[in-house]
Amino acid sequence: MEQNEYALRADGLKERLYRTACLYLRSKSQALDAVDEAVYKGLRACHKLREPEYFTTWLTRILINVCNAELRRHKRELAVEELPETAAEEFDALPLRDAVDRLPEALRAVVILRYFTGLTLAETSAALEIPQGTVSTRARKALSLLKLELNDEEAR
Amino acid sequence: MDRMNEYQALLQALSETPPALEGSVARAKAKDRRRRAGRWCGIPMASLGGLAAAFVLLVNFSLPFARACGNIPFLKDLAAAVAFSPSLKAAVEHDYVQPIGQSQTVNDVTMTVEYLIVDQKQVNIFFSLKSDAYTALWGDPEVLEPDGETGGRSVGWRSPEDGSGLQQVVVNYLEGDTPDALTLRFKVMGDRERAPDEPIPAPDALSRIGGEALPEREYVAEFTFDLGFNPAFTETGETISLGTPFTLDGQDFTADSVEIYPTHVRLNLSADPANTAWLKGLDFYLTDENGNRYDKVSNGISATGTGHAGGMTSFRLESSYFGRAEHLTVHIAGCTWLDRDREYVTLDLAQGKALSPPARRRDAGGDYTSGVHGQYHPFR
Repeated sequence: MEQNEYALRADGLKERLYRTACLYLRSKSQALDAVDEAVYKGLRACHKLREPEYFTTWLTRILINVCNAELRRHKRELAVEELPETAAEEFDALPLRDAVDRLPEALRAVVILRYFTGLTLAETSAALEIPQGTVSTRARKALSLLKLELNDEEAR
Repeated sequence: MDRMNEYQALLQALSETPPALEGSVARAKAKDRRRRAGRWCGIPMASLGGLAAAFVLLVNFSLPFARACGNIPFLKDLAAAVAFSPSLKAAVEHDYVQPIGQSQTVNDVTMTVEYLIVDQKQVNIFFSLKSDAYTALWGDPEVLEPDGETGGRSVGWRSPEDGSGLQQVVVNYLEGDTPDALTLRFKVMGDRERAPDEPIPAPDALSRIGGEALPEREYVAEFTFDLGFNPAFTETGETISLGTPFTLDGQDFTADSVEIYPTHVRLNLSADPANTAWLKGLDFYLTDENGNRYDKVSNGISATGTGHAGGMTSFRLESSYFGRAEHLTVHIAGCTWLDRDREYVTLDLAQGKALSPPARRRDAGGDYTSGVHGQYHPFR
Protein backbone atom coordinates (compact mmCIF):
# COMPACT_ATOMS: atom_id res chain seq x y z
CA MET A 1 0.00 0.00 0.00
CA GLU A 2 1.29 3.45 -0.92
CA GLN A 3 1.85 5.98 1.86
CA ASN A 4 -0.77 8.39 0.56
CA GLU A 5 -3.48 5.74 0.61
CA TYR A 6 -2.26 4.61 4.01
CA ALA A 7 -2.51 8.16 5.37
CA LEU A 8 -6.12 8.48 4.21
CA ARG A 9 -7.21 5.17 5.66
CA ALA A 10 -5.31 5.61 8.92
CA ASP A 11 -6.93 9.00 9.36
CA GLY A 12 -10.35 7.39 8.99
CA LEU A 13 -9.53 4.76 11.58
CA LYS A 14 -7.90 6.91 14.24
CA GLU A 15 -11.00 7.33 16.44
CA ARG A 16 -11.55 3.60 16.68
CA LEU A 17 -7.87 3.15 17.44
CA TYR A 18 -8.12 5.74 20.16
CA ARG A 19 -11.09 4.00 21.81
CA THR A 20 -9.16 0.74 21.76
CA ALA A 21 -6.06 2.31 23.25
CA CYS A 22 -8.10 4.08 25.95
CA LEU A 23 -9.52 0.79 27.16
CA TYR A 24 -6.18 -0.95 27.01
CA LEU A 25 -4.22 1.77 28.77
CA ARG A 26 -6.85 3.63 30.89
CA SER A 27 -5.12 6.90 30.16
CA LYS A 28 -6.17 9.39 27.51
CA SER A 29 -2.68 10.81 27.14
CA GLN A 30 -1.10 7.36 26.89
CA ALA A 31 -3.81 6.34 24.44
CA LEU A 32 -3.00 9.31 22.23
CA ASP A 33 0.70 8.45 22.35
CA ALA A 34 -0.08 4.83 21.50
CA VAL A 35 -2.18 5.83 18.50
CA ASP A 36 0.62 8.13 17.31
CA GLU A 37 3.15 5.33 17.65
CA ALA A 38 0.94 2.78 15.91
CA VAL A 39 0.18 5.15 13.03
CA TYR A 40 3.89 5.86 12.67
CA LYS A 41 4.81 2.17 12.71
CA GLY A 42 2.10 1.52 10.16
CA LEU A 43 3.40 4.30 7.93
CA ARG A 44 6.83 2.75 7.90
CA ALA A 45 5.50 -0.74 7.22
CA CYS A 46 2.57 -0.02 4.89
CA HIS A 47 4.54 -1.05 1.81
CA LYS A 48 4.45 -4.60 3.17
CA LEU A 49 0.65 -4.63 3.30
CA ARG A 50 -0.24 -6.33 0.04
CA GLU A 51 -3.90 -6.97 0.79
CA PRO A 52 -5.62 -3.66 1.61
CA GLU A 53 -8.81 -5.39 2.72
CA TYR A 54 -6.97 -6.37 5.89
CA PHE A 55 -5.97 -2.80 6.64
CA THR A 56 -8.23 -2.40 9.68
CA THR A 57 -7.16 -5.59 11.41
CA TRP A 58 -3.52 -5.03 10.43
CA LEU A 59 -3.34 -1.55 11.95
CA THR A 60 -5.39 -2.66 14.97
CA ARG A 61 -2.90 -5.44 15.58
CA ILE A 62 -0.06 -2.94 15.43
CA LEU A 63 -1.89 -0.79 17.99
CA ILE A 64 -2.47 -3.76 20.30
CA ASN A 65 1.23 -4.57 20.16
CA VAL A 66 2.07 -0.98 21.03
CA CYS A 67 -0.41 -1.02 23.92
CA ASN A 68 0.88 -4.33 25.25
CA ALA A 69 4.45 -3.03 25.12
CA GLU A 70 3.35 0.05 27.01
CA LEU A 71 1.54 -2.06 29.58
CA ARG A 72 4.60 -4.20 30.14
CA ARG A 73 6.66 -1.08 30.57
CA HIS A 74 4.30 0.33 33.19
CA LYS A 75 3.23 -2.91 34.78
CA ARG A 76 4.27 -1.85 38.25
CA GLU A 77 2.54 1.48 37.97
CA LEU A 78 -0.71 -0.06 36.84
CA ALA A 79 -0.66 -2.79 39.49
CA VAL A 80 -3.83 -4.29 38.12
CA GLU A 81 -4.18 -7.90 39.04
CA GLU A 82 -5.82 -10.30 36.70
CA LEU A 83 -8.54 -12.18 38.41
CA PRO A 84 -9.38 -15.77 37.69
CA GLU A 85 -12.20 -16.33 35.25
CA THR A 86 -14.33 -17.81 37.97
CA ALA A 87 -14.47 -14.61 40.02
CA ALA A 88 -17.82 -13.57 38.62
CA GLU A 89 -19.20 -12.19 41.82
CA GLU A 90 -16.40 -9.64 42.10
CA PHE A 91 -16.93 -8.40 38.56
CA ASP A 92 -20.58 -7.93 39.33
CA ALA A 93 -19.74 -5.41 42.01
CA LEU A 94 -17.30 -3.38 39.94
CA PRO A 95 -18.11 -0.48 37.64
CA LEU A 96 -18.10 -1.69 34.04
CA ARG A 97 -14.87 -0.01 33.07
CA ASP A 98 -13.03 -1.41 36.08
CA ALA A 99 -14.52 -4.81 35.44
CA VAL A 100 -13.27 -4.76 31.85
CA ASP A 101 -9.82 -3.85 33.13
CA ARG A 102 -9.76 -6.79 35.45
CA LEU A 103 -10.81 -9.38 32.94
CA PRO A 104 -8.20 -11.98 32.03
CA GLU A 105 -6.16 -10.59 29.15
CA ALA A 106 -7.52 -13.00 26.55
CA LEU A 107 -11.13 -12.11 27.38
CA ARG A 108 -10.44 -8.41 27.74
CA ALA A 109 -8.93 -8.19 24.25
CA VAL A 110 -12.01 -9.79 22.72
CA VAL A 111 -14.41 -7.53 24.61
CA ILE A 112 -12.51 -4.37 23.73
CA LEU A 113 -12.26 -5.15 20.02
CA ARG A 114 -15.71 -6.67 19.63
CA TYR A 115 -17.90 -4.41 21.76
CA PHE A 116 -16.00 -1.12 22.06
CA THR A 117 -13.81 -0.83 18.97
CA GLY A 118 -16.51 -2.19 16.70
CA LEU A 119 -14.63 -4.93 14.90
CA THR A 120 -16.69 -7.74 13.38
CA LEU A 121 -16.28 -11.31 14.51
CA ALA A 122 -14.01 -12.02 11.55
CA GLU A 123 -11.96 -8.87 12.09
CA THR A 124 -11.54 -9.61 15.79
CA SER A 125 -10.44 -13.10 14.90
CA ALA A 126 -7.91 -11.76 12.40
CA ALA A 127 -6.63 -9.01 14.69
CA LEU A 128 -6.01 -11.40 17.57
CA GLU A 129 -4.99 -14.27 15.30
CA ILE A 130 -7.36 -16.71 16.94
CA PRO A 131 -10.22 -18.75 15.40
CA GLN A 132 -13.65 -17.17 15.17
CA GLY A 133 -15.09 -19.88 17.38
CA THR A 134 -12.61 -18.95 20.08
CA VAL A 135 -13.64 -15.29 19.75
CA SER A 136 -17.29 -16.25 20.24
CA THR A 137 -16.52 -18.44 23.24
CA ARG A 138 -14.41 -15.80 24.91
CA ALA A 139 -16.95 -13.10 24.16
CA ARG A 140 -19.74 -15.10 25.78
CA LYS A 141 -17.61 -15.84 28.81
CA ALA A 142 -16.54 -12.22 29.18
CA LEU A 143 -20.07 -10.88 28.84
CA SER A 144 -21.20 -13.35 31.44
CA LEU A 145 -18.50 -12.20 33.83
CA LEU A 146 -19.37 -8.57 33.19
CA LYS A 147 -23.10 -9.24 33.60
CA LEU A 148 -23.55 -7.52 30.30
CA GLU A 149 -26.27 -8.79 28.01
CA LEU A 150 -25.14 -7.99 24.49
CA ASN A 151 -25.56 -10.00 21.35
CA ASP A 152 -23.81 -9.83 18.01
CA GLU A 153 -26.30 -7.31 16.63
CA GLU A 154 -25.61 -4.96 19.49
CA ALA A 155 -21.88 -5.08 19.00
CA ARG A 156 -20.75 -1.82 17.45
CA MET B 1 -27.19 2.40 36.79
CA ASP B 2 -27.59 -1.01 35.22
CA ARG B 3 -24.96 -2.63 33.07
CA MET B 4 -26.50 -1.62 29.74
CA ASN B 5 -26.70 2.00 30.80
CA GLU B 6 -23.10 1.76 31.95
CA TYR B 7 -22.15 0.32 28.60
CA GLN B 8 -23.82 3.13 26.67
CA ALA B 9 -22.27 5.74 28.94
CA LEU B 10 -18.83 4.24 28.51
CA LEU B 11 -19.23 4.20 24.73
CA GLN B 12 -20.26 7.84 24.85
CA ALA B 13 -17.25 8.72 26.97
CA LEU B 14 -14.91 6.91 24.64
CA SER B 15 -16.32 8.67 21.61
CA GLU B 16 -15.10 11.99 22.97
CA THR B 17 -11.70 12.25 21.37
CA PRO B 18 -9.07 14.88 22.12
CA PRO B 19 -8.41 17.50 19.41
CA ALA B 20 -4.80 16.35 19.23
CA LEU B 21 -5.96 13.08 17.70
CA GLU B 22 -6.58 14.94 14.45
CA GLY B 23 -2.85 15.36 13.96
CA SER B 24 -1.85 11.70 14.38
CA VAL B 25 -1.16 11.01 10.72
CA ALA B 26 0.62 14.34 10.24
CA ARG B 27 2.84 13.64 13.25
CA ALA B 28 3.65 10.18 11.92
CA LYS B 29 4.67 11.67 8.57
CA ALA B 30 6.79 14.32 10.26
CA LYS B 31 8.47 11.71 12.46
CA ASP B 32 9.21 9.60 9.41
CA ARG B 33 10.72 12.61 7.64
CA ARG B 34 12.91 13.31 10.68
CA ARG B 35 14.01 9.69 10.73
CA ARG B 36 15.06 9.88 7.10
CA ALA B 37 16.81 13.21 7.60
CA GLY B 38 18.52 11.86 10.69
CA ARG B 39 20.51 9.47 8.58
CA TRP B 40 21.97 12.40 6.73
CA CYS B 41 22.97 14.35 9.75
CA GLY B 42 25.29 11.70 11.07
CA ILE B 43 22.96 10.53 13.81
CA PRO B 44 24.22 7.18 15.09
CA MET B 45 23.18 4.59 12.57
CA ALA B 46 20.43 2.18 13.48
CA SER B 47 21.14 0.55 10.19
CA LEU B 48 24.30 0.73 8.17
CA GLY B 49 22.28 -0.42 5.21
CA GLY B 50 20.02 2.59 5.57
CA LEU B 51 22.93 4.96 5.34
CA ALA B 52 24.26 3.03 2.40
CA ALA B 53 20.94 3.37 0.64
CA ALA B 54 20.91 7.13 0.99
CA PHE B 55 24.52 7.25 -0.09
CA VAL B 56 23.88 5.22 -3.20
CA LEU B 57 21.10 7.56 -4.24
CA LEU B 58 23.25 10.64 -3.86
CA VAL B 59 26.26 9.10 -5.51
CA ASN B 60 24.13 8.19 -8.47
CA PHE B 61 22.23 11.42 -8.78
CA SER B 62 24.64 14.05 -7.53
CA LEU B 63 28.00 14.37 -9.21
CA PRO B 64 29.27 16.98 -6.69
CA PHE B 65 28.37 14.68 -3.83
CA ALA B 66 30.02 11.72 -5.50
CA ARG B 67 33.19 13.73 -5.99
CA ALA B 68 33.09 15.08 -2.46
CA CYS B 69 32.81 11.57 -1.09
CA GLY B 70 35.52 10.19 -3.29
CA ASN B 71 37.87 9.91 -0.36
CA ILE B 72 35.55 7.84 1.83
CA PRO B 73 36.70 4.46 0.63
CA PHE B 74 34.28 2.15 2.36
CA LEU B 75 30.99 3.71 1.34
CA LYS B 76 32.31 4.57 -2.06
CA ASP B 77 33.20 0.93 -2.57
CA LEU B 78 29.79 -0.24 -1.43
CA ALA B 79 28.06 2.11 -3.84
CA ALA B 80 30.37 1.02 -6.65
CA ALA B 81 29.86 -2.65 -5.86
CA VAL B 82 26.11 -2.50 -6.47
CA ALA B 83 26.07 0.12 -9.22
CA PHE B 84 26.24 -2.45 -12.02
CA SER B 85 23.04 -4.18 -10.97
CA PRO B 86 19.64 -2.43 -10.79
CA SER B 87 18.33 -5.25 -8.59
CA LEU B 88 21.15 -5.02 -6.05
CA LYS B 89 20.95 -1.23 -6.07
CA ALA B 90 17.27 -1.49 -5.17
CA ALA B 91 18.08 -4.03 -2.48
CA VAL B 92 20.59 -1.70 -0.86
CA GLU B 93 18.22 1.25 -1.14
CA HIS B 94 15.63 -0.77 0.78
CA ASP B 95 18.05 -1.85 3.53
CA TYR B 96 17.94 -5.38 2.18
CA VAL B 97 21.51 -6.01 3.32
CA GLN B 98 22.96 -8.28 5.98
CA PRO B 99 26.08 -6.67 7.46
CA ILE B 100 28.82 -9.16 8.39
CA GLY B 101 32.13 -7.50 9.21
CA GLN B 102 34.18 -10.69 9.65
CA SER B 103 37.89 -10.12 9.11
CA GLN B 104 40.99 -12.34 8.94
CA THR B 105 44.67 -11.64 8.20
CA VAL B 106 47.08 -14.16 6.64
CA ASN B 107 50.54 -13.34 5.25
CA ASP B 108 50.00 -9.60 5.28
CA VAL B 109 46.70 -9.96 3.45
CA THR B 110 43.49 -8.99 5.21
CA MET B 111 40.20 -10.25 3.90
CA THR B 112 36.98 -8.79 5.29
CA VAL B 113 33.54 -10.09 4.41
CA GLU B 114 31.53 -6.90 4.63
CA TYR B 115 27.98 -7.60 3.46
CA LEU B 116 25.61 -10.23 2.22
CA ILE B 117 22.65 -9.76 -0.08
CA VAL B 118 20.76 -13.03 0.10
CA ASP B 119 17.40 -14.30 -1.01
CA GLN B 120 15.78 -17.65 -1.66
CA LYS B 121 17.77 -18.28 -4.85
CA GLN B 122 20.90 -16.16 -4.75
CA VAL B 123 23.75 -15.28 -2.41
CA ASN B 124 25.90 -12.20 -2.99
CA ILE B 125 28.99 -11.94 -0.79
CA PHE B 126 30.80 -8.59 -0.79
CA PHE B 127 34.31 -8.57 0.62
CA SER B 128 37.53 -6.61 0.51
CA LEU B 129 41.15 -7.70 0.19
CA LYS B 130 43.81 -5.36 1.52
CA SER B 131 47.55 -5.59 1.92
CA ASP B 132 50.54 -3.31 2.15
CA ALA B 133 52.71 -6.01 0.58
CA TYR B 134 50.77 -6.48 -2.67
CA THR B 135 49.73 -4.03 -5.32
CA ALA B 136 46.88 -6.17 -6.62
CA LEU B 137 44.95 -9.04 -5.09
CA TRP B 138 42.54 -11.49 -6.65
CA GLY B 139 41.74 -15.15 -6.32
CA ASP B 140 39.64 -18.25 -6.67
CA PRO B 141 36.46 -18.68 -4.67
CA GLU B 142 35.14 -22.00 -3.48
CA VAL B 143 31.76 -22.29 -1.84
CA LEU B 144 31.05 -25.22 0.45
CA GLU B 145 27.59 -26.14 1.65
CA PRO B 146 26.84 -27.77 4.99
CA ASP B 147 25.67 -30.99 3.33
CA GLY B 148 28.53 -31.07 0.83
CA GLU B 149 26.13 -30.60 -2.07
CA THR B 150 27.66 -28.82 -5.06
CA GLY B 151 25.14 -29.49 -7.81
CA GLY B 152 22.39 -27.26 -9.14
CA ARG B 153 24.17 -24.03 -8.54
CA SER B 154 26.74 -21.72 -10.07
CA VAL B 155 29.47 -19.74 -8.42
CA GLY B 156 30.81 -16.54 -9.92
CA TRP B 157 33.35 -13.98 -8.86
CA ARG B 158 33.51 -10.34 -9.79
CA SER B 159 36.38 -8.00 -9.12
CA PRO B 160 36.17 -4.23 -9.28
CA GLU B 161 37.93 -2.82 -12.31
CA ASP B 162 40.19 -0.58 -10.29
CA GLY B 163 41.22 -3.47 -8.05
CA SER B 164 40.66 -1.53 -4.85
CA GLY B 165 37.00 -1.87 -3.95
CA LEU B 166 34.65 -4.56 -2.79
CA GLN B 167 34.85 -7.85 -4.59
CA GLN B 168 31.82 -10.05 -5.04
CA VAL B 169 31.11 -13.75 -5.04
CA VAL B 170 27.66 -14.68 -6.31
CA VAL B 171 26.05 -18.09 -5.87
CA ASN B 172 22.97 -18.87 -7.97
CA TYR B 173 20.64 -21.73 -7.14
CA LEU B 174 18.59 -23.30 -9.93
CA GLU B 175 16.02 -25.65 -8.44
CA GLY B 176 17.13 -25.76 -4.84
CA ASP B 177 17.02 -22.94 -2.36
CA THR B 178 19.71 -21.01 -0.54
CA PRO B 179 20.85 -23.00 2.50
CA ASP B 180 20.97 -21.56 6.01
CA ALA B 181 24.74 -21.23 5.89
CA LEU B 182 27.71 -21.46 3.55
CA THR B 183 31.45 -21.64 3.89
CA LEU B 184 33.43 -19.35 1.61
CA ARG B 185 36.98 -20.45 0.92
CA PHE B 186 39.00 -17.90 -1.00
CA LYS B 187 42.52 -18.52 -2.30
CA VAL B 188 44.29 -15.27 -2.93
CA MET B 189 46.88 -14.44 -5.57
CA GLY B 190 48.73 -11.17 -5.69
CA ASP B 191 51.31 -8.96 -7.33
CA ARG B 192 53.92 -8.11 -4.75
CA GLU B 193 54.89 -4.54 -4.07
CA ARG B 194 58.38 -4.05 -5.55
CA ALA B 195 61.21 -2.17 -3.99
CA PRO B 196 62.08 1.09 -5.77
CA ASP B 197 65.30 -0.41 -7.09
CA GLU B 198 63.91 -3.81 -7.96
CA PRO B 199 63.91 -4.43 -11.75
CA ILE B 200 60.52 -4.77 -13.36
CA PRO B 201 60.12 -7.95 -15.41
CA ALA B 202 60.05 -7.47 -19.16
CA PRO B 203 56.51 -7.57 -20.56
CA ASP B 204 57.17 -10.78 -22.51
CA ALA B 205 58.03 -12.57 -19.29
CA LEU B 206 54.46 -12.07 -18.16
CA SER B 207 52.79 -13.33 -21.29
CA ARG B 208 52.35 -16.58 -23.09
CA ILE B 209 55.28 -17.17 -25.48
CA GLY B 210 55.54 -19.80 -28.18
CA GLY B 211 52.48 -21.65 -26.91
CA GLU B 212 54.04 -22.26 -23.49
CA ALA B 213 51.75 -21.70 -20.61
CA LEU B 214 52.98 -19.61 -17.75
CA PRO B 215 53.71 -21.51 -14.58
CA GLU B 216 50.77 -21.49 -12.22
CA ARG B 217 50.80 -18.71 -9.73
CA GLU B 218 51.15 -19.54 -6.11
CA TYR B 219 48.49 -18.57 -3.68
CA VAL B 220 49.66 -15.97 -1.20
CA ALA B 221 46.90 -16.55 1.31
CA GLU B 222 43.86 -18.70 1.89
CA PHE B 223 40.81 -17.72 3.91
CA THR B 224 37.80 -19.62 5.18
CA PHE B 225 34.68 -17.83 6.38
CA ASP B 226 31.61 -19.51 7.80
CA LEU B 227 28.62 -17.41 6.86
CA GLY B 228 25.19 -17.82 8.45
CA PHE B 229 22.21 -16.27 6.72
CA ASN B 230 19.35 -14.43 8.32
CA PRO B 231 16.25 -16.62 7.71
CA ALA B 232 14.26 -13.50 6.93
CA PHE B 233 16.40 -13.15 3.81
CA THR B 234 16.70 -16.78 2.72
CA GLU B 235 12.92 -17.17 2.78
CA THR B 236 12.27 -14.08 0.70
CA GLY B 237 10.70 -14.65 -2.68
CA GLU B 238 7.41 -15.65 -4.19
CA THR B 239 6.23 -17.75 -7.12
CA ILE B 240 3.16 -16.79 -9.12
CA SER B 241 1.63 -19.56 -11.22
CA LEU B 242 0.47 -18.48 -14.66
CA GLY B 243 -0.36 -21.29 -17.10
CA THR B 244 -0.73 -18.80 -19.96
CA PRO B 245 -0.31 -20.18 -23.51
CA PHE B 246 1.16 -17.99 -26.25
CA THR B 247 2.70 -18.30 -29.70
CA LEU B 248 5.99 -16.83 -30.88
CA ASP B 249 6.93 -17.01 -34.54
CA GLY B 250 4.61 -19.98 -34.95
CA GLN B 251 6.12 -21.85 -31.99
CA ASP B 252 3.84 -22.61 -29.06
CA PHE B 253 4.76 -21.99 -25.44
CA THR B 254 3.18 -21.78 -22.04
CA ALA B 255 4.25 -19.19 -19.50
CA ASP B 256 4.27 -21.47 -16.46
CA SER B 257 5.21 -19.13 -13.65
CA VAL B 258 7.01 -16.02 -12.53
CA GLU B 259 9.37 -16.15 -9.58
CA ILE B 260 10.05 -12.80 -7.94
CA TYR B 261 13.09 -12.46 -5.70
CA PRO B 262 14.89 -9.34 -4.47
CA THR B 263 17.92 -10.13 -6.65
CA HIS B 264 16.14 -11.13 -9.86
CA VAL B 265 12.93 -12.29 -11.52
CA ARG B 266 12.53 -15.58 -13.37
CA LEU B 267 10.03 -16.12 -16.16
CA ASN B 268 9.59 -19.86 -16.63
CA LEU B 269 8.33 -21.20 -19.95
CA SER B 270 7.64 -24.64 -21.34
CA ALA B 271 7.76 -25.41 -25.06
CA ASP B 272 5.30 -27.47 -27.05
CA PRO B 273 7.06 -30.75 -27.98
CA ALA B 274 5.80 -30.26 -31.53
CA ASN B 275 7.76 -27.02 -31.99
CA THR B 276 10.23 -27.05 -34.86
CA ALA B 277 12.85 -24.81 -33.21
CA TRP B 278 14.46 -24.30 -29.84
CA LEU B 279 14.10 -20.93 -28.18
CA LYS B 280 17.69 -19.82 -27.64
CA GLY B 281 17.24 -16.21 -26.63
CA LEU B 282 14.54 -13.76 -25.70
CA ASP B 283 14.70 -9.99 -25.96
CA PHE B 284 12.11 -8.90 -23.45
CA TYR B 285 11.33 -6.76 -20.43
CA LEU B 286 8.65 -6.21 -17.78
CA THR B 287 6.66 -3.12 -16.94
CA ASP B 288 4.39 -2.44 -14.00
CA GLU B 289 1.43 -0.19 -13.41
CA ASN B 290 3.68 2.45 -11.88
CA GLY B 291 5.64 2.98 -15.08
CA ASN B 292 8.70 1.04 -13.94
CA ARG B 293 10.59 -1.06 -16.46
CA TYR B 294 12.62 -4.14 -15.57
CA ASP B 295 15.05 -5.26 -18.26
CA LYS B 296 16.52 -8.68 -18.73
CA VAL B 297 19.59 -9.42 -16.68
CA SER B 298 22.68 -8.02 -18.36
CA ASN B 299 25.23 -9.23 -15.79
CA GLY B 300 25.51 -12.86 -14.82
CA ILE B 301 23.10 -15.62 -15.74
CA SER B 302 20.40 -14.38 -18.10
CA ALA B 303 18.70 -17.69 -18.94
CA THR B 304 18.88 -21.37 -18.16
CA GLY B 305 17.72 -24.47 -19.99
CA THR B 306 16.94 -28.01 -19.11
CA GLY B 307 19.32 -29.75 -21.52
CA HIS B 308 22.31 -29.22 -23.73
CA ALA B 309 20.14 -28.57 -26.78
CA GLY B 310 16.72 -28.11 -25.30
CA GLY B 311 16.53 -24.37 -25.60
CA MET B 312 16.13 -21.92 -22.77
CA THR B 313 13.21 -22.36 -20.41
CA SER B 314 13.87 -19.89 -17.60
CA PHE B 315 14.70 -16.28 -18.40
CA ARG B 316 15.91 -13.73 -15.90
CA LEU B 317 15.12 -10.08 -15.43
CA GLU B 318 16.04 -7.36 -13.02
CA SER B 319 13.91 -7.55 -9.92
CA SER B 320 10.52 -5.92 -9.52
CA TYR B 321 10.44 -7.03 -5.87
CA PHE B 322 10.86 -3.59 -4.37
CA GLY B 323 8.59 -1.94 -6.94
CA ARG B 324 5.59 -3.31 -5.05
CA ALA B 325 3.70 -3.74 -8.28
CA GLU B 326 0.34 -5.45 -8.41
CA HIS B 327 0.52 -6.12 -12.14
CA LEU B 328 3.42 -6.96 -14.40
CA THR B 329 3.32 -7.02 -18.20
CA VAL B 330 5.80 -8.99 -20.28
CA HIS B 331 6.94 -7.25 -23.48
CA ILE B 332 8.69 -9.50 -25.99
CA ALA B 333 10.64 -7.48 -28.54
CA GLY B 334 12.43 -10.31 -30.29
CA CYS B 335 13.61 -13.87 -29.99
CA THR B 336 16.35 -16.13 -31.28
CA TRP B 337 15.71 -19.64 -32.58
CA LEU B 338 17.74 -22.70 -33.36
CA ASP B 339 16.15 -25.15 -35.73
CA ARG B 340 15.90 -28.58 -34.17
CA ASP B 341 17.83 -30.20 -37.02
CA ARG B 342 20.69 -27.74 -36.55
CA GLU B 343 21.60 -28.56 -33.02
CA TYR B 344 25.14 -29.69 -33.81
CA VAL B 345 27.93 -28.45 -36.05
CA THR B 346 31.03 -30.44 -36.99
CA LEU B 347 34.33 -28.60 -36.68
CA ASP B 348 37.71 -29.40 -38.21
CA LEU B 349 39.98 -28.18 -35.44
CA ALA B 350 43.15 -28.68 -37.48
CA GLN B 351 41.88 -26.49 -40.28
CA GLY B 352 39.81 -24.27 -38.07
CA LYS B 353 36.75 -24.72 -40.28
CA ALA B 354 33.18 -25.80 -39.88
CA LEU B 355 32.47 -28.92 -41.93
CA SER B 356 28.75 -28.44 -41.79
CA PRO B 357 26.92 -25.18 -42.30
CA PRO B 358 26.72 -23.05 -39.18
CA ALA B 359 23.51 -23.02 -37.29
CA ARG B 360 20.87 -20.84 -38.77
CA ARG B 361 19.64 -18.31 -36.32
CA ARG B 362 16.30 -16.72 -36.89
CA ASP B 363 14.99 -13.63 -35.23
CA ALA B 364 11.37 -12.78 -34.87
CA GLY B 365 11.69 -10.08 -37.51
CA GLY B 366 13.30 -12.24 -40.20
CA ASP B 367 15.90 -14.90 -40.98
CA TYR B 368 19.62 -14.53 -41.17
CA THR B 369 22.66 -16.75 -40.80
CA SER B 370 25.31 -16.29 -38.21
CA GLY B 371 27.93 -18.23 -36.32
CA VAL B 372 27.01 -20.57 -33.51
CA HIS B 373 25.44 -18.55 -30.78
CA GLY B 374 27.43 -18.56 -27.57
CA GLN B 375 25.97 -20.45 -24.66
CA TYR B 376 27.16 -20.15 -21.09
CA HIS B 377 26.86 -23.12 -18.78
CA PRO B 378 28.62 -22.21 -15.56
CA PHE B 379 26.84 -24.73 -13.35
CA ARG B 380 28.91 -26.85 -11.08
